[in-house]
Amino acid sequence: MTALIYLTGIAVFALVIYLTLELAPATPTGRLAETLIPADGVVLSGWRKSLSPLDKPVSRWTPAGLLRQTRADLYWAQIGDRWNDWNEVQFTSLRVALAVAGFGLGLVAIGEPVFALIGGLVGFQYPAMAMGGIARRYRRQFIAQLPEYVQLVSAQMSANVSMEEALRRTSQAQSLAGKWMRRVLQMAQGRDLIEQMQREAQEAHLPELIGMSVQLEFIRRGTAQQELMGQLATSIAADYIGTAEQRAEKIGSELVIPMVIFYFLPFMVTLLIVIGWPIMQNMGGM
Amino acid sequence: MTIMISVAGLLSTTLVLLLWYPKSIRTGRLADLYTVDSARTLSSLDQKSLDYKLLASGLSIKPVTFRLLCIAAGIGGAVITWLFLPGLPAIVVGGIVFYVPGAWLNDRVKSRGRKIDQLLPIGIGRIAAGLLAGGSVPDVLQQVGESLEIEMTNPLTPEFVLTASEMRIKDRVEALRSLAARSPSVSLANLAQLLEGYTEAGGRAYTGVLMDISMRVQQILIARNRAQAKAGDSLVSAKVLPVVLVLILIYLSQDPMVRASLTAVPVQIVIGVAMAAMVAGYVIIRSMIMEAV
Repeated sequence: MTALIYLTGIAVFALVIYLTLELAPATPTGRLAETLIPADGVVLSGWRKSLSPLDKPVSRWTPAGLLRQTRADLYWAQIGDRWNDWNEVQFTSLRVALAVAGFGLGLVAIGEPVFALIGGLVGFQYPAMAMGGIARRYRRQFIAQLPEYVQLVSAQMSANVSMEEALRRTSQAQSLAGKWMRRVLQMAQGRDLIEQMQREAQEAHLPELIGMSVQLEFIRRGTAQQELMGQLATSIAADYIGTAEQRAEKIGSELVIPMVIFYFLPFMVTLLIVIGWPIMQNMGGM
Repeated sequence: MTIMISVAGLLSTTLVLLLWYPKSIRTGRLADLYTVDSARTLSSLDQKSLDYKLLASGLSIKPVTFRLLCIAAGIGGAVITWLFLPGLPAIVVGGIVFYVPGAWLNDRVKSRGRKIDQLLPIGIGRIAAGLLAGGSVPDVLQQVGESLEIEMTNPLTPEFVLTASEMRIKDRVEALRSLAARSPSVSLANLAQLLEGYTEAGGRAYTGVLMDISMRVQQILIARNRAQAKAGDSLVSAKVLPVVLVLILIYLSQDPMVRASLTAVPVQIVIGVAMAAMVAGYVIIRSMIMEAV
């Protein structure tokens, strides 16, 4: 009877894999598809190659919101030269694979479904937490450096330099904003710079950047570009000053969870075990 | 007792090595390390190397001596803790003490950039005023650097003075680019670029613009410094709690039963894990505060 249950389980698993891999819509082929697919045809290697069978079902079944969030996080992690060449589907495949591995490990090592679920959850969440942490760090660094960068652009434009040239010159800045601008300039070869900036801003999913790129588009169309740029620089600086104050106020509440996990819990557990151990020893001896 | 003698011997040997190890340049007080020479030397070193970190943090020792000190501190910490709390906690303390000097050094290097950021609003204000009054960029940088030095020894003065002297002997734009490249602070690099624009624009006509932009940059930096200082208050409890825990453990260990329990393996594991968790927590919380604004 037990063997029958295992056989049924294996058969269901095989059926699900078959249906997911074979009946999910195939990647479009043909001349048009080849034209539309980016020409950077990267040959997959390592983890990404091993996980590639999962890519198709993952891209089909993962909610669009989750993929969008992962894409934005990957964007910032890649600005910091981490998780290079990974895309959101490959990263989600990694999460799924680690979730399955964590579930399996929990089931084999402890044998309790609850622990298996916890293992699966940890496997699913860990890569997102690790990559999300890196992305958050670079996103914040960027937000902190953006106002000063805009001042530099404004200064260049005040010296009668065109907006494109000002952006080109200030891209040499060693800040993260300068690095981002170098990336935009590299991607904008043969295209409109401001439009490319808007595309990158949307991909980065950063409201400050989207707002700035839209305003730059307006400034480009306007006549008094220097004055408008000066106003933009002033408003971005004022926004940053207000936000910095707010974040300083909020940091206390953000630290509550790390304080509990890293300080209060170890503190309480240490005291309890130091005081409780002699009592337990005595009770055991009785 | 024998262990104490060994520890004393180890520490004495390290001290002798530290004092008598041959040095190519004998530097004096810590204050002397923020000099034009050190700024010039720093620009020629790899920012990830231990040589750079030691010089940038104001330590006049060689990398080999620093590594030796770390090992000695780790062993010393473990042995001393072993006398009071033998077992796993002593090994964990040894590991922590070995790791702390490196972390402290990295923090000192970063703090060089932070110190520059703290002084930069004052520096920018004086530079803008000096340029508005008709001074040339090298003269103004030299004077502002020297004026900051009068108040206290700081890492911004050598950067300004070195740039001023470079501007006098070679291409001005090149000197400002060199300042931007070696700067440990992004804001200082931005200031260098701003001055580069000023130099290229020919000065006078650009002074008013520079004044406005300098004021805005000044406000941004002041707001950032204020917010960072405010956020830093949250770190107090992270420093106080481990001390409180140690004091409570010392107090509790006066009881013979509790003292006996401290040598039990499960208790030692818990204490060791708690120590490691608190150190990791401190590092995480500190980085959260630093990156908050």
